[in-house]
Amino acid sequence: MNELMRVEDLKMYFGGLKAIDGLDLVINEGETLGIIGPNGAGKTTLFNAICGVYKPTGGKVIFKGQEVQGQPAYVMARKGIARTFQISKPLADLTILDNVVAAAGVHEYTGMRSYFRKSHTPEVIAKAEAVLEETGLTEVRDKKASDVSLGYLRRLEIARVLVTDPELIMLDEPCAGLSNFAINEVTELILKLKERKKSIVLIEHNLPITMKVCDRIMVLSYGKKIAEGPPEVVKHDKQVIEAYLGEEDEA
Amino acid sequence: MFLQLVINSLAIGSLYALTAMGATLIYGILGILDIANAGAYLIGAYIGYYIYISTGQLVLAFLGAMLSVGLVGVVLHRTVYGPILAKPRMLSIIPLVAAVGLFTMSSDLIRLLCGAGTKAYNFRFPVDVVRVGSVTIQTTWLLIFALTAVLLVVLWVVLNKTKMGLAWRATAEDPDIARACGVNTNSAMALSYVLGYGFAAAAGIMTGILYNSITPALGEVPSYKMLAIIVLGGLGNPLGTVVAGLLIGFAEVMLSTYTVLPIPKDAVAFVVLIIVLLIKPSGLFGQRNKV
Repeated sequence: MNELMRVEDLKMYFGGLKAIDGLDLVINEGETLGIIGPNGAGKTTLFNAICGVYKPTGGKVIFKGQEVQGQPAYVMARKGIARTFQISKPLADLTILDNVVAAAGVHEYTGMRSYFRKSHTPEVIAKAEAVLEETGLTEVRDKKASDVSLGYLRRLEIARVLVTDPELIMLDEPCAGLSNFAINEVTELILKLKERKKSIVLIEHNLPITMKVCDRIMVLSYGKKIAEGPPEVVKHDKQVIEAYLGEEDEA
Repeated sequence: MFLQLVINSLAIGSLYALTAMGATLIYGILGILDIANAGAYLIGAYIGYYIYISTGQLVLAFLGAMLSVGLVGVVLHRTVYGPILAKPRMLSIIPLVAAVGLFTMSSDLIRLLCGAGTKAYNFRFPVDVVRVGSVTIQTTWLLIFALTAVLLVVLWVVLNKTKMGLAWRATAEDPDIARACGVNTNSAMALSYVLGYGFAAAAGIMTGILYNSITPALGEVPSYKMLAIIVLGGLGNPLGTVVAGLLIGFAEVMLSTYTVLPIPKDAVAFVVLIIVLLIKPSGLFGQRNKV
């Protein structure tokens, strides 16, 4: 597999707090990498430092052979790194369709003239509708995002990512707060992306799902990597069990 | 008589709407009450005046003033509001205080550079008034009405039909999401200043033409009246701003004609505001349909 992204010695400090402390990771094309760890381990901070929400204190992010660390989030999005948010952040006052159309312009918000082009061209709408269909959102396409349930919003996050034709999809707890039924729907969606050989990084607390969909898992604790490997290996790692999974009940 | 008053109200109300539109746009996108819009209104009136007396071209005066004041807005966003808003845990009163300071500075700057006296556009249409039946309409009012309508239609198209509108709405709702969608939120915010300050400049010139006088104090009344209008309309809501501007124009004209007002005419806006807020605390259009 070809390497898509390499993170070298990444550091993200907030004053004295070392949220990410010298982290290395590699993401290969077509691979699904899971990131797990206790609350406060630095998982979302890692996403934010990679995606340009934060400027890393140190280290490198190399995407398709190019150093991209510290560039703003909109540049990262245009480069093909798309992410969802841990807390669903829809554009609440816009319809589901417009939420997706807004993201469909990812490569087009460039320069003064481009801003004054028509937003809802037939091509953009067709593309957005195809993504809505794929993510099971067609039935709510004209509803305002503030009027739909969390299950739809989680899928909207994924739809917004997909419509940008990303090279790397970063999903931040896509199943958090969902019912079992909705979790199954989101899991099916991730598996479909996996079948299409999309490169995915997944943060998820739901371990059975992480184990099911990921090719490789990295475990974070206090901003450092404490284990990495195939799900079966990580599951039995002593350090991981102590820090995150807890001892199995021997009774 | 009544129809005549309605037309007067529409002209004044649309001018109010245009004056407050810049502040509405900026509030809707950046979430700050930019009183300095009244400074843009003042500076626009003066730049327009100098262009007009040097060239005799009113269209050039409008375009030149709107563009140059719009660029001033970009500079202010880059040097003042942008850095303030980028600070973590920023108190919302800080940009407001900065805006008040900028507005005061703009009045003094104009007084210093252009003198404290009154200046007159002395712009005259070939025809002063148009008569339709028993109704007499000043040509200046027609210009104000037409130009305001054109600018508001342009704004509606930009907001609802272009990538800019979508980028603004995304930035207004959540800058993180907007950036994740590829929007350079700094540019989007700067462009909102071009449009917002440009609109204020146009309103300043129109006021100058309507009353045929401009002074460095021109921005004082709009600085507080625009607040009443944007709050009345439902903060950050362009449609609400138009309705609120028209409502206040109507109330001012009708009350000052049919009653002996116990308060200054400029206080009517606040009386209307208080009455509406008592009934609907979120303003006429609440938080919905905002930018």
